[in-house]
Amino acid sequence: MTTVSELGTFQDAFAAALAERTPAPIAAWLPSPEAGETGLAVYRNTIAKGCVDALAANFPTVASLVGAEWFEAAAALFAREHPPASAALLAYGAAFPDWLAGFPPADDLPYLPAVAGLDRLWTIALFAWDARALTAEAFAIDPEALASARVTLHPSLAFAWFDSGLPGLWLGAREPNPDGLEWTQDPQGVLIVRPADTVACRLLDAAGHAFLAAARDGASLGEAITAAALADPAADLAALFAALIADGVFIDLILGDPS
Amino acid sequence: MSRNVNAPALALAAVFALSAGAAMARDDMKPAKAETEKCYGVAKAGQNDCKAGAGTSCAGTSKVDYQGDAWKKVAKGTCVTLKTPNGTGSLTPKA
Repeated sequence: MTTVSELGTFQDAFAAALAERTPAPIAAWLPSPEAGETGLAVYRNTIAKGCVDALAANFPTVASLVGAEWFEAAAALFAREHPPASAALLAYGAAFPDWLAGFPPADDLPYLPAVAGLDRLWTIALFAWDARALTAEAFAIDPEALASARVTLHPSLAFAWFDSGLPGLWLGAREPNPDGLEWTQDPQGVLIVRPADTVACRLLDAAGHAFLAAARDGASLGEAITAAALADPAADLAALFAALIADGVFIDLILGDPS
Repeated sequence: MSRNVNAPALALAAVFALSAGAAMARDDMKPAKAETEKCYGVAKAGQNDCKAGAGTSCAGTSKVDYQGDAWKKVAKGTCVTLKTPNGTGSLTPKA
C-alpha cells in the first residue's frame, strides 16, 4: 500500500525525470531502466504543449508578427528554460519579453520584446482587480472643487510612453488581419484599461500621458491638466479629460479640503 | 496646506477645461450597456470570450512534437516595415 509520503517521493522523482529528460530518477519504480522513456516523452510533450499554448494565448501579437511555426519553436525553448512557477498558466510568461530581447534569432525583429511587453500589460490588465469606473456625472461638481480634487486610477490601468511608434505597431498587429504594418519613429503612448469585462487599449498622446502620470503621482486634477497643457500646448484639454472619463480610468474622486 | 484653487500654478483655463471635459463626457455618454458577467481565465488574441483559458489544453494524446527548432528559420508573420525619413527598410525578412 502506498503511503502519502511514498506518493510524494514518487511525484518528486517523476517531476525530476521530466525536467532532467531521463528516466533515472524513477528507475526504482520501473521494470527496466529503459521502460519509462516513451511514456515520459508523452508527459514532457504534454507539458510543453500546455506551456506553448499558454504563451501563444498570452502573447498573441508576438505570435502574429512572427508566425505560428517560429513562435511555437521559440516558446518551447523558453518553456524549457523558464518552466512555469505555478500550475495555473493564466499569466504564464512574465519573463518572456526579456527572454526575447536576449534571443539571437529575434535580433532582426527589434520591436519584438516591446511588443511582448505590451501583450504582457494586456494580460495584467485582464487579471487586475475589478473596480467600477466613475461615470461622467461624478465630475459634475463645482469647477474649482473639481480642479482641486484628486483621482484614484483604475487598478487595471496601465499606460506607457515610447520614443517610437511601438504602440501603433502593437495595436495594428492585434487587428484580425494585419497587413503591411508600419513602425513609425514618432513617439507614442499607449493606454490599457479594463473598466468592466473587456480590456480596452488605445494610443495616448503626450498630453494624455502627462495627465495620467501626474494623476498617478498624486497631483490634483488641476495640476494634472496643467501638466498636460505643458506637455502639448496645442492639446484639446477638455476633449482629453472627456476621453479619459469615457475610458473609465477613474474610480474615485477625492475632494480637497473645503476650507 | 490648503489645496484650494487659488494655488498659483493652477491656470484658470485648466479649471474650465476640466468642467468642459466633464460636460463633454456627459453628452457623449451612451446608454449604459447591460453589464455582462466577467469570465475569468481567458487571454487569447485580445478577445475576452469564455474559453477554458491558457494552458488548459488536454494534450496527452497530441501528436505535436515540441522538440523542433523552427526558430532557426525566418519568422513568417506579418511583415513590418520601418518608416523613416529616409525611406522604408524592411525589418522582417520576407519569405
